[in-house]
Amino acid sequence: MFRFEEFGTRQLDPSSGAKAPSKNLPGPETAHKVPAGGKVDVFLQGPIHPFPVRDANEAVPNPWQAIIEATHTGPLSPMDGKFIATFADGRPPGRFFGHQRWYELFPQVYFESVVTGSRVNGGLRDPWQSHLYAYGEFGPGPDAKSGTADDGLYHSVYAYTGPVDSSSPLASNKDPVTGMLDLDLRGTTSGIPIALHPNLPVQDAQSLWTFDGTLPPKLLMARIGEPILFRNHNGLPIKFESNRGFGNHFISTHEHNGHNPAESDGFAQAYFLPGQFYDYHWPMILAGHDSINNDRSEDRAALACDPGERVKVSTPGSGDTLQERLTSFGHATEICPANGRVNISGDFRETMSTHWFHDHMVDFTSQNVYKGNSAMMNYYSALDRGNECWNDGVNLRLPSGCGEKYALPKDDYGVPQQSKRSWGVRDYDVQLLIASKAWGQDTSTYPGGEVLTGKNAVGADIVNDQLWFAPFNSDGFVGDRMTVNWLYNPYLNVRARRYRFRILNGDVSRFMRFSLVAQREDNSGEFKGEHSGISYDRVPFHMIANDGNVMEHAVPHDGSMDLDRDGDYQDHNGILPTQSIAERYDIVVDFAKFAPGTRIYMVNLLEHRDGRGPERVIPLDEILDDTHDSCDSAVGKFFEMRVHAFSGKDLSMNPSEFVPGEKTMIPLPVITEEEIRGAVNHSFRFDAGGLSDSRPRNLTSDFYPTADGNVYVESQTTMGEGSERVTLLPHQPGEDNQLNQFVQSCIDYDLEETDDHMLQMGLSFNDYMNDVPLFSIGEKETSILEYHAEVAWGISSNRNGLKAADLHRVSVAPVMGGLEIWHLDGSGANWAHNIHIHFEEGRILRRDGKPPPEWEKWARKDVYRLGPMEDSGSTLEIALRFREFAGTYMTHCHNTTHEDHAMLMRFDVENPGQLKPFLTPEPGWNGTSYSESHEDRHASQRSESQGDALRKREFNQNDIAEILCPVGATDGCPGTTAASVEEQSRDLCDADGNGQIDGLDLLRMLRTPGPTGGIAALVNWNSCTEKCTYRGCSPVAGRRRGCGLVGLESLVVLVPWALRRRRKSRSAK
Amino acid sequence: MLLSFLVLLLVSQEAAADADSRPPHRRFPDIELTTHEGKRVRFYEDLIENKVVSVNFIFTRCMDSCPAETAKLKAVYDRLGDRVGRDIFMYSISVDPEHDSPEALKAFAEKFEVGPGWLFLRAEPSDVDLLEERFGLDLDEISDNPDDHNISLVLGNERTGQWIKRSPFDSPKVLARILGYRLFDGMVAQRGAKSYSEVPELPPLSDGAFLFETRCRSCHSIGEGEGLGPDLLGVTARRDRVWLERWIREPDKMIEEGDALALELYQQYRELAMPNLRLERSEVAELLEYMEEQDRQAGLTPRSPRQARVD
Repeated sequence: MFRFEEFGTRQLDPSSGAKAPSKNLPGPETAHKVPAGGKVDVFLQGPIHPFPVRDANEAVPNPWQAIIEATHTGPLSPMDGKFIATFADGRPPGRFFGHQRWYELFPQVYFESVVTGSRVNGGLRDPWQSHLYAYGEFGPGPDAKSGTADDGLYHSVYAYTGPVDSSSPLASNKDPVTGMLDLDLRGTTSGIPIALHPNLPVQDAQSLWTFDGTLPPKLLMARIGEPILFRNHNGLPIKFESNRGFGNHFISTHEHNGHNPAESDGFAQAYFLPGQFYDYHWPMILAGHDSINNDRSEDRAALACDPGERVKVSTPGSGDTLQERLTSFGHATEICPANGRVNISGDFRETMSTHWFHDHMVDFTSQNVYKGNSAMMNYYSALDRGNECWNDGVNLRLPSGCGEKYALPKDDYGVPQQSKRSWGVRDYDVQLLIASKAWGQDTSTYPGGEVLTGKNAVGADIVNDQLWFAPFNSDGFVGDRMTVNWLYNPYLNVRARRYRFRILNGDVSRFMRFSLVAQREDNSGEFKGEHSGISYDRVPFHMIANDGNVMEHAVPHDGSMDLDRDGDYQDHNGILPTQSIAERYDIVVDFAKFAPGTRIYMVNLLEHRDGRGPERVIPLDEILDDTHDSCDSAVGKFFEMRVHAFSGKDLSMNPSEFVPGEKTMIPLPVITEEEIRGAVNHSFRFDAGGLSDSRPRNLTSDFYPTADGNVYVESQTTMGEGSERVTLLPHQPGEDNQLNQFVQSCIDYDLEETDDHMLQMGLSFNDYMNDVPLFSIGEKETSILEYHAEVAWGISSNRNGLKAADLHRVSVAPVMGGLEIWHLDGSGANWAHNIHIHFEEGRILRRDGKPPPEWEKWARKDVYRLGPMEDSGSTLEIALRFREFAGTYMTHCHNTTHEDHAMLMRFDVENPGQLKPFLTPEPGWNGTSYSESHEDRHASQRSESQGDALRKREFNQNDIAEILCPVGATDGCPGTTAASVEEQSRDLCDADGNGQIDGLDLLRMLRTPGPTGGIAALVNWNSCTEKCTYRGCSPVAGRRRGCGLVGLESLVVLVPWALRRRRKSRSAK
Repeated sequence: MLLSFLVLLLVSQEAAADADSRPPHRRFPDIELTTHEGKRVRFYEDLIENKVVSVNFIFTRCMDSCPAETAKLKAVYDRLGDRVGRDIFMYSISVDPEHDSPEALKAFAEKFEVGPGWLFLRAEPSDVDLLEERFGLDLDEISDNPDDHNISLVLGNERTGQWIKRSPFDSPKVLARILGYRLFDGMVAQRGAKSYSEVPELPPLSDGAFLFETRCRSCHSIGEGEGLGPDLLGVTARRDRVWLERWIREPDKMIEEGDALALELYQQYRELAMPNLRLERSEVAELLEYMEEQDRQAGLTPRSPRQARVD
């Protein structure tokens, strides 16, 4: 199996960057095609041009404008004289979608990609890999010679040994005598075809649309404290219909849960068009940047840097007024010291780790993500720096390896002197993007598509094996084949040591549940095997991160704790909780106890019968001895790991020292009882629209306060005025396909058949995972219920009635800076929804009124499961803070089919005192305009009462202290452990360091000169009062309260301050 | 070896025939239907080929959802104006062809004052079933119940293959936006759209609001309940303006002087003296202006300085 390929970032230097030679995205030959791959590579190699600017660039036209006008739109007329047709920059124009805090958080690095049709990888990014295929397991080994037996495990990028049929993209590489293929690409990705298996045909450029158009899937390695600019180009066909039946050529990119400003969050209505680019600005700050640790004294809040490296970090502003603070920010340029850390502002408890970014096009997210528009992103930081050797007292030393070249001297921190990086080593830190796919029998042709001929391994037309999707399905699209990193039935070589796996459910509708088992060549394992002579044992592991956030404690999945307090210690032994779409679980597995040659399997236990939600958990023992009755071919083993000897030293942390009750990794942010009692509460119900006569019609129409007349859409249509007229029609599988129930098709599709095919290929069952050539999946795709219908989905916010998505409607609008309690409700017997809230992670306070299990109690989440599974539920109460950036975000079901069928709502983070909602962008070929937005009742600060007051009253009747410190497998309260009390005493707010935050701290702050002292302190004090631990903290109604100044204190504090201020203002005059 | 493979692939791609010349495949059957005006039409060739359409299923005997659904669609129809019949077409197909003769459909259409561009249609039952299935509107839970049907609405552009499923009970504005705008794949400009230059900037916080947020917020809210100090909603209506002005400016002096109201408040709020924030007179005026505006928005009338004198 191949590992993720790094995008690789480059310095963004305003002085030299502005002089970069001009370059244009190469255009396609026809409106149905994508640009030639070689030209795309040349384009991506050059430095960025035009240089990124704050507001959308209106100086450079869309490089494809001529061909767009000639083949598609006809002449593009200016909208109102102010626009020159369409620009290269697809960002909505003006300050409205200008980058927030651009100069303050100016990107230090950038990378570019082109989302385009699939093609052979040309090795473009080889030189941008931080390992350079030279270091550690990615390197050529001690003899420095590539292709020898001592090569690092991952120096081999793509390997396959076995039979190959003539249609394989790799067929030309086979041995002419034996007909066998022995492929081993070392030290480069050049030559990797887009095929889901070496014996599956190459995918048409219209079947997969990925970043660069290439595989392996891509990884962004980012650093907290180092702002990034991502210039994403749209290199898709100009014609919608050149999509092999699914996928939208308009795209929008969402960095899944970055703490990012709204204009860079990938709002579904802020999409960009073929030929255009969109600059996403990801500031990479720690949440709390403006209010916490402003003096950068906290060592755990730090940029991970290479000693000697020059780094520039942002320092928060100071001043008397908000405006002053937002303009008086600074930058500190520092030479990275030997400890590899440059401290930054913000709350280290908000450190993030494993993210991904993916398409978020309105109504078409599922199709585009399914088609390949997704990538992963690792956040590196002083705490989680990706170098297990780095022993500076801050680094958690999670498994990664040290990325060393052999036989190099080591420095004080145990890192080889000439190692490329003190951070971001991936030798033993592996991304797993898991998704079910289907490849179908669609024999129709699409305009611009390549004609694919030939037969596959079992004699079927290869055109049958193109990626396939069912756009009319609104239940949820579940593929019938599991893929890992886009490969079917892959294996990965691993060393006998600790590994970190970053597991992403990258599917569009399928929930999963994973287990790890080790195969034994005897009968004495815990579980019987498929036949005698084989048995299995569980492989225990620790979950260290949930949804990309390293938890307060490592949660042992080894049977040592009753994680969900159900009396059963074994139900999570070697078995993860349900993992819905977009959820990430990072686990640490120790392979040290396994002998080289051992095979470890990842098994999926969760059965789907349709896309509404998972059906049931198939018992592990029945899967392993093959006695289960599930017809879901995605259930079972799908990924193999082969253990190899490890001769190095495993220096990574031992997760069992960090289990609940022991040491902490990254404590949760502190939430106080008072904050919760004062918080705005919003309630949301996620439900089916019930759209048949016999079911209640519970979708509610909207009331629009603005009347803009009957004729709402202008009648100027330019469609079809281009010189090229299209007569061909897109198509889905033939009319003769029957609508089959999943189960019916399951019966049609016989596992015996599989074995027959494999026998034809001369392979026995034991080769199951061993590079089995793939047979056609036959009639199976009808199981995906292309035409199956379900009801529409919707969300009701604050009891306003179930509504379908309307990107012009603001459902709720938190005010920047506040803590809110969100209640997520949904109780259906046969469906599940996993709710994703953009922008901020939340802490699950309760599930169904009960304390959350250990893997949620210590976690910050961004996806919340509702549904009938035992580890989900029908009511969730979560606490979220909205800070630093304003603008338009979204909340939606991350079963993307549900999302596209309108289970999505918009929420805005507003500035305090904002008088109207943000406008909505309206992109088109002619450029982007804006239209008015409207808001739901109780949505915003302008409402009579914001939020669900009844729900708030009910919730506040609970024992909040108990909710904040729930019972669990062990004692201990998230975010308020003994350690964090000590941490609080180091808080900036506790200026006198006595462990209490009180009025006297204000005194000290006022007397302190510097960025956060002096007169600015009074402004900062507002945020400090949230944490007040001393007098003046009273549990009263109202959203804000704090540490008052009592009696004499006020005089002592305020008089000198005021005198100084008066003096200052006089001298100013 | 690899290079040769790469070259081969490139060559084969170039050599591939342009697919544009190949015959089309059709997702939807070309069944025959009769319109409510008695005209015979073919579903694919006459109704949807190369068109932007909305398709839903109704039956005229249905007393509940179908009239409601049709009324909703009428609102969409009205919004789209004369574009319906020109570049947008709407079809409501009966799932009850036995009872729904063209005449019955015509009567139904007339009830809703439906004009050109929106057809009510009947076809053979098996053909209707096939259509429902192809549009993903075949709900198996209800397929045996003759009085029940899926009322979802399918909006699409058959030329591009872009299809979106929605509820007819969605907002007419949203449905019109999809039909008239989004399905045209960026080709149609929206009327009433604003260019950036017309978009009002969000007003920055007024000086008074800013002073309030930064100086008073720690203890007071406006309309959000008591904090350390009283909720200030209505304070400008409640209190004498002159008194209030001085109270904000030098509360310490007023307590010292034994002002009755000042002492009362001092007692009432846990003897937590309001601090003298050493605000300038102009700053106090800005603050008061802001608080008065808040009160006016809440429907309260602030007491003017003149009133204060009369008092």
